[in-house]
Amino acid sequence: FTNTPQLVQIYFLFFALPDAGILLSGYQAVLLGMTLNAGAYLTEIQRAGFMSVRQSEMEAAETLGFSRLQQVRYVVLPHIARVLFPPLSNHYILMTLGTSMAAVFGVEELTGRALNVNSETFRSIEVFTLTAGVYVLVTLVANLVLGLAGRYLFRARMRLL
Amino acid sequence: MLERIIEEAPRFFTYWNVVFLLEAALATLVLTAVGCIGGFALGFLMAALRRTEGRATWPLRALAFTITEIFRRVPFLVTLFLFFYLFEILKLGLDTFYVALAAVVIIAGAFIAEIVRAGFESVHPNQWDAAAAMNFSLPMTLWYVILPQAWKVILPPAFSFFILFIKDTALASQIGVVELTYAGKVMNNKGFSAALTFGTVLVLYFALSYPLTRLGQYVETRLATRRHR
Repeated sequence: FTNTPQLVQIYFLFFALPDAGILLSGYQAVLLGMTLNAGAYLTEIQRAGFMSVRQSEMEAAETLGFSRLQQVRYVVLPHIARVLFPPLSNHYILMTLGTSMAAVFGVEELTGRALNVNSETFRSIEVFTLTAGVYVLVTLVANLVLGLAGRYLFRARMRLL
Repeated sequence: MLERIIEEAPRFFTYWNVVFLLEAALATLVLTAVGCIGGFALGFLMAALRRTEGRATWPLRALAFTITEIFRRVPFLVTLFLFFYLFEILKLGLDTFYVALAAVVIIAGAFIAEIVRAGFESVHPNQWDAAAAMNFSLPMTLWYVILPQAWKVILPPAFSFFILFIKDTALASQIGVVELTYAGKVMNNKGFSAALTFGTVLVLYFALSYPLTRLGQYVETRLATRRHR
């Protein structure tokens, strides 16, 4: 999934699955496509996090008789939460931008609404400038909230703006 | 679904259809390559501008800052439409391909400016001070002092960004640029089953981006071993 574009993946889900008898609405197809795609990217990010835990720590946990789940919960997670939080929140911002793709499938989100308004009023520059402004605002707020959360919960070093 | 694909496949993979798809793949590649090279130049320029000091250049600094912050926060699709209508109003009569190219360069520039800036900041401040003490100008500082140390930090994320970008160009199909995704839509409209057309498109994208991913990994490991030495 990380090697093919999200848009084409959603196209595939939206247009090809009906052939197999599974009919998805635009909203469902986009949601499913984004979940799959994000899952693939986040796997990569978290794998990097898991690999950053030192081998000796895992061995120590094993010596203490931790089960696999306990190892992850008590040894791995506290370690990697700090390292992992910044890239994860970065991905959140990227996902926010990615949702604009839903417009292509007729979902009424910010970009879709902008396209509709545009086709009614033909004031394209104003409409899309405003849309861009809203996106800037949304991501700024998301950055701020995630940055604060990261600072206080995980003591991650993050740039707030 | 499967028998339909098998039945359609001989009709789908005719000479002209394959040429059409490959040409579209080439358009995707050109869009990405030009976007990345132009974007790298622009991003580098903006990152360098943000390092300038002094009152005379502050409008440039502000401009570079605004461009990087805004275009990194606006979805690619919205930027594309904005550029599309902007070019329409300017009445330049350009092909949509060039509109997409302009949008791609600006966006790549904004993202790469951040990457390059992170690279610049990874170099110890003492090095900057030392260069200033030797009366190096900013381009000289960057070229002789900063870049040799920073490019190891810049290259790996730049590479992963390039790969991300191949996939982002798929959105250019929305303003009517004939690239891979658009070609897939055209074929689909011609009546071939969606599973076949978009499956082929997916495979082609994979063929474009997978070698680059491997190259990126190779570069990364080589740089990493050198850094630890």
